[in-house]
Amino acid sequence: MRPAAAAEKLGIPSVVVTTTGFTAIARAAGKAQGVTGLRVAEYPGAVGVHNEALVEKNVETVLIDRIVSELTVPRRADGEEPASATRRPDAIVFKGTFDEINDYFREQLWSDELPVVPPTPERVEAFLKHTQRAPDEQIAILPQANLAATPRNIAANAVMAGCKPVMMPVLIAAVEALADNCYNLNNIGSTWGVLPFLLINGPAMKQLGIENGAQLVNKGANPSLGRALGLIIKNIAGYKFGRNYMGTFGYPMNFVIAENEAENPWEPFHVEHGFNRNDSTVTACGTVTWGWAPAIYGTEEKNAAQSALEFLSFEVTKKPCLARLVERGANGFQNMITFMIAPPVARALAAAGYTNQKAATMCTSMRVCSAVSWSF
Amino acid sequence: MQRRELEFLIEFGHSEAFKFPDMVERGLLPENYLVDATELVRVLPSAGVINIVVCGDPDRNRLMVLWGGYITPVSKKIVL
Repeated sequence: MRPAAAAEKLGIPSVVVTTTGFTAIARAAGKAQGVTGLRVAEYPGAVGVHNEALVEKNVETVLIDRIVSELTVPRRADGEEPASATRRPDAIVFKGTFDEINDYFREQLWSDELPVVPPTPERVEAFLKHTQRAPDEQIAILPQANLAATPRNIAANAVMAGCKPVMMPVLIAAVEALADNCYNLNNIGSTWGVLPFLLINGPAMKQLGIENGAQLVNKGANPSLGRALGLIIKNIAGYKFGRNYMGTFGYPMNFVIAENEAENPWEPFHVEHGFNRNDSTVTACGTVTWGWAPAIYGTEEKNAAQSALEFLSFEVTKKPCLARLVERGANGFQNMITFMIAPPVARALAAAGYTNQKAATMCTSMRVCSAVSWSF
Repeated sequence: MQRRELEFLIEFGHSEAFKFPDMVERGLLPENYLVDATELVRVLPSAGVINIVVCGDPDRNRLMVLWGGYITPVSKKIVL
């Protein structure tokens, strides 16, 4: 997207070639680079699992026409500015019952599909009392929507998430961290499924009730703080599921961890990174750990089905099944491994003659082979 | 990691479909990666890519690894 945006800025008509469903994220990335209405031509389907003949056919019969079509019309406008761009920051956007407000927020794609606490002026005001920053002062511009994050809209999302007002300073610092170019917020929309999370250090942990011990991500202030992070990324950074937030299998809830500095035999994370021990810090992090989703590609020497089976075998040996093997022996674990396979990959396997059981059997036999050379 | 495993990831897990020697030729991997298929090659560039956070149940002997994807962690001071 970036090369096309750069070319357009130089006056060179450009078209982004992408796969099905990625027009919105391409245009959003272009917009974040200052180019609206980027031209996009979608290749039909998941190119990685298509063989050479099918790729050639799709390029010749579909893609070329789309590229020509895009390049022979003026770049389109991105549509009207969203209402949020012209509305007063403290305007009341909707009045109704709890259920009506939640229905409305869902329709507007402002919620995370769970019920939200209505961000009434009184509740937002309670958060604003916990910062010296003016309510509508710009804290940062967050890509990809490039909307200004202000104490007021940060507070509104925190209210929706169920946070306590004392969390306001943490969320303002978190937004500053997200906005830092090093963090790379403009690129989290990938099909990898990148999930932002926060790490808290320093005395603020104890003062604010942030947990660092057993089950920390589910206890104390952590879950609501994590949810607020997710809503800020959705509503201010503008990452909407399936539009420009494209994790193939979706995302679990954003979460918050904190360091147990009292039991840490080394310097705590924030001191290692240049802060004083008495400083409190928030670190914006990200992970794909709930399941990195390898993209499957076939080549002339190895088709997509073979590649998928080898990836599954490779991945499965990294997962906790090996611990069960050690604890319980070769027959000690049953039905505890789940393969999530996107439809194009499943079709590639089926087309190569694999039933789901045969694919699973192949993976277990390949896993035994790889165990021979397991060097750990 | 064994070279053959890294080679597989490079050739079948990326849209660029690089061959392993291509990456050495392009300078993306050093020449000492051109070892036999079963020899071990370094896949983490340095200790600098690893952040250690002590947390969780203080009475349990577990650990967990969170792979970062495209993200570089950024820290900011909290002003209470």
